[in-house]
Amino acid sequence: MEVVVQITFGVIAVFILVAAAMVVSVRNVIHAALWLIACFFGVGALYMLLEAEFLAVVQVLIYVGAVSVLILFAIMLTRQITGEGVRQLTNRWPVVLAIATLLFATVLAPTLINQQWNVPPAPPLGTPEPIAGPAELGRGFVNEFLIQFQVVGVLLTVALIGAIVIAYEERARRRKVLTLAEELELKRLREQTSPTVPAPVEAEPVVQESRSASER
Amino acid sequence: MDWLTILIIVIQCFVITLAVTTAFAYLTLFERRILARLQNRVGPNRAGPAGLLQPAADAVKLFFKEDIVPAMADKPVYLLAPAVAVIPALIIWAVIPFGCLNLNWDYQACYDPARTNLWNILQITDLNIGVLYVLAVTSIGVYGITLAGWASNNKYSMLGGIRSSAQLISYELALGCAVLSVVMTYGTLSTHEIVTQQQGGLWGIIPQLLGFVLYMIAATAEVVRAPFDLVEAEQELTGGYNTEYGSMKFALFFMAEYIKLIAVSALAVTFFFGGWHFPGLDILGREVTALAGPVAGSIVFGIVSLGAFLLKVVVFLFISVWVRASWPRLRYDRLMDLGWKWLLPVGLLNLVYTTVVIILIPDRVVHSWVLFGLGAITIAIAIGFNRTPKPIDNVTLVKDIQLPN
Amino acid sequence: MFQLTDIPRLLPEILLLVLALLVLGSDILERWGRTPAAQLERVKSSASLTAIGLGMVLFVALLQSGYIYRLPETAPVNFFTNIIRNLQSGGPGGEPIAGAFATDHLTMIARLLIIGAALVTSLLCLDVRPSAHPGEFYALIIFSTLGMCLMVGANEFLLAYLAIELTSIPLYLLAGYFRNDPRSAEAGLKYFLFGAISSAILLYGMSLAFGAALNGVGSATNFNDLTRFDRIGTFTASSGGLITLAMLFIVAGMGYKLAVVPFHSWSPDVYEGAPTPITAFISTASKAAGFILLFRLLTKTFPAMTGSPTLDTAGGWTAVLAVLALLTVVIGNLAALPQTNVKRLLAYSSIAHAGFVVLGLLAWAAAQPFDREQGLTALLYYLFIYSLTNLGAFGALALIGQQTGGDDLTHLRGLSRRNLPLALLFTVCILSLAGIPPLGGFFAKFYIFMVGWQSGATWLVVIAVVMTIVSLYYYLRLLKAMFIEPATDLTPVSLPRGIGAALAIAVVGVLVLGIFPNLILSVLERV
Repeated sequence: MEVVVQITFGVIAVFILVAAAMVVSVRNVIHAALWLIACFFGVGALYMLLEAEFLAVVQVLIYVGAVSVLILFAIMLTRQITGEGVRQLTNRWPVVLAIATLLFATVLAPTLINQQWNVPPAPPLGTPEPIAGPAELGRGFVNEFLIQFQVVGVLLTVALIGAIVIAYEERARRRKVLTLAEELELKRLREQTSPTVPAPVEAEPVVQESRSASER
Repeated sequence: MDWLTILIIVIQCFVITLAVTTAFAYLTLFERRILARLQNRVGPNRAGPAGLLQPAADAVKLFFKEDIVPAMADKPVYLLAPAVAVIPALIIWAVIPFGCLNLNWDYQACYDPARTNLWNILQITDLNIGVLYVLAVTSIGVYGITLAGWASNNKYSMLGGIRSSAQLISYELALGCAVLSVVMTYGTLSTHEIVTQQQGGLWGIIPQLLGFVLYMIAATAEVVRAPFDLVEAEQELTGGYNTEYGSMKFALFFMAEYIKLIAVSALAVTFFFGGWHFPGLDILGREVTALAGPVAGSIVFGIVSLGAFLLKVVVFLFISVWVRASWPRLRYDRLMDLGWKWLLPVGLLNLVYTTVVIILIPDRVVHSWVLFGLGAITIAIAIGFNRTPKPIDNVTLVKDIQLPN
Repeated sequence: MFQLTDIPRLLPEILLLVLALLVLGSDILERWGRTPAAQLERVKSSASLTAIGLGMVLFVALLQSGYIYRLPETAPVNFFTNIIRNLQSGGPGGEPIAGAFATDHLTMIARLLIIGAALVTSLLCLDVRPSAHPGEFYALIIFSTLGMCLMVGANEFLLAYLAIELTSIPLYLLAGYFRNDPRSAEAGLKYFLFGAISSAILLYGMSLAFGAALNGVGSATNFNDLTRFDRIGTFTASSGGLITLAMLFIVAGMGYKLAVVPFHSWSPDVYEGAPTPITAFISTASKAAGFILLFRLLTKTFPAMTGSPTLDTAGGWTAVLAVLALLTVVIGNLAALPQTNVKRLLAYSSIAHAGFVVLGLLAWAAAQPFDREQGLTALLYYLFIYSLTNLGAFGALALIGQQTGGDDLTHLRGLSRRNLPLALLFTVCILSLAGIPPLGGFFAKFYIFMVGWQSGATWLVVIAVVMTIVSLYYYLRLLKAMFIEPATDLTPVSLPRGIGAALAIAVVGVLVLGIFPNLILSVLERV
């Protein structure tokens, strides 16, 4: 059984690494997003291997089911970023490669090799289970990790506010939407009055940008 | 885990997959016949007696159709999309309890929340996070449609794909709220336990009337059925996301959609209508056990519970077809409005109701009926809100246009 | 375990949260409309609410700290003394709340510093206003302040990370708030990208530290408190390379937030593009909070690998910090020399100042306990003076930018003839940054050099002193532009009340604390 677990872990780990490498190396952004999803699935599988089913399912639910869908959605709504013809690397990539290899060889690899890996023995009977299931997790949230839980709430509120601030144009600044009939009518009227100067119809900026003085 | 258990699991998977695909085939016939009746037509009745061979004829046609891949399509993704669509629809069945046939030959174990001595072959696996599994699998169902829309390199498909991802994200939240309130009511994430706790006629719809209404609306939107089928609105998008798909690839999308419909109906039965429970079921089990021994008792119990479950599912499928025949499609902004401004707030409200009432009134029967009353009042108020369409103030009327000088 | 009696100890944070929600909510009740008058009214009311609210929170925190007035034990029992007694019962001291949030003197002092900085920033924002979403603008400042307050008290990895994010996310938004200005948008995006990467690095370091601690524990105990700094310190004391790696990652991640070289490349662009009051806020409060968190992390999580400031023993975080300090001081000052944009110049100057603060951190590794305490006091004193000065300098710059139309050196020309008081206030701030006696900047630098010298990092102090002399060149260039170079435009520059008040606070603070440092040192020494 131990061997099976080891092999499974190896397969999943290689899969995650390959997927992650593909995310940054494929040119097509949608394909990159798909590899990212594959990578998330791999992480979920790792959780499963650790017998943390709750985390595994939540990983799929949140990262695959929500985050990646939003990423795909954003890519689809953005025109012309399919990424074909975009250079993946700058001219200086050999330098970066050299530095990365050097750091890996001198810092990371020796550390990991020399580390005394101390596999914890099986816990004696009666020790409390580490937090894994939904019920214990919920209890942890309202007892030990109450402050952190509350801070997460504030943080998410802030993120929500931020998203609105970035995305939402106040109505006063929005471009007016005309129906087709109105546009035609407008065009006709404009041709009557000034056939040479087609000015765009935009809502007038209501207040001067307070920094307008500093804009060059 | 010996080889027999594994073999039984494999057989279960095979049987369920086959049963579900067959159910899909006949659901199409069912839908067409009922739609025809509702629209005062005849419907397909030529292939076989009463049209019963129609699904087979359709399948043969789809198998032998020429397989076309558009020249500019993104081929790997294009080919991947139907599979991605159909897999979640199939694996969601793993946690749904169809009935309770205990292979340890003791029908009473079905009612035991501790699940000792229970080997139920009418449910593939009883995860202790089954409900979350359902939510997770539903949430990945969107990829098939979205990717198909993108990979076809067709503007209609693309629009369908974008619509689908926006719609599914929006309604997933309301669906999650509805399901979570069920989880809170029963205090468990296991589907089997949710069903066992609904024993005795106090079905999930009583404490969770509001949750049920939300679930039905959100689930209909999740499986992109009418009146939320903007993803494949024929009048606007020709075929929607599957415009460029033909033959079996198209059939896979079709299959995914219908299997998901059956799955959400089965889940609705599980969560809100007592699953495989049926009034008098335990009496039946007891009497047959007394008459013919525990083996026969368990088998009869299992078969009857399966029958009850299927009957309930068929009722839901009929309702779905009925809705499709009756209601026009929503406009897209109304769809988003409904999801974000109505279902989600009401869903959150329902979570609050459930928490507060269950904490304040520990007695199950009383709090169920209190929740029922609260839910009914909330629904009445929500429906009672007369939404007069607001004049859209960012549209300029012709008479108001001021010309730039 | 969190208890209800812990609430007074978290009072400043709770009040900040309430204030932020109040600012957000009150915006709805304001007069809405498209007319400029209505918009202006809306902005102004949010701004004043923020300033007044932050002032009140600062007052409550001051009262709670008991540094200025401590209720005597023998005070009569009445309504007011009861309020004060209850407040001060939540003052500094006691075990960390739920093991996650330390409420010691360090937290209290840092809170005061941060809320004070936020107050001055909000005063600056009374006159430099956003054009859209005013309520959110001010609420984000307060949310960020809340994050910083949590950051300085964090005693646990999870809370530390969340606090960093709660600090950073509003700052990303604020840096890019003037979306119509491409530089501001660029600043927001750049800040966000760098911040996200640095968070990832930090998180990686944290998880490595957690893993190392778990590895050190060996057998199963309760894992849930293994994210606390001191627990990790205990269990990783004899651990090998893994914890070193974790330390490196954490220092690198925090280094990004603190903009020390070589992790500084985002800061000039962000400082230049962000709205100037926000630049002031980023360069002072968030840096101060970051340094205090770094201090806690290094001293509590990695006590076993301290090393020594004289660098006679190899390794330890002192070695890393020494290299960072050296690079920061040298590159920060040298890169400031050729700048022509005043904001960029001040950005490099604040990078250089971060290098001086790192010296104070180094002193914590000294052999003598006295030197260590001196090191922390010097660090805090430096942070106080630096924050005041930088707020003043950027505040003045905000006004200049708003009224002269830019923040290049050329826009400073002849400022003394256009508005002498403003020029003088700005001059005081710049001289304090340069470290000219008798201003606070001089004493702060002197103190930190002294501490550094005593603890043994002599070579670094020598380099820092040389670089201070180099820095005089670019600071004096600013003065030359203001006082000597001819003005291209002689229209007078007005000094509005909000910025005037902020500048006055900064300059008075720098002067008073510079001449009478004992006023604040007596408080700082309690840490």
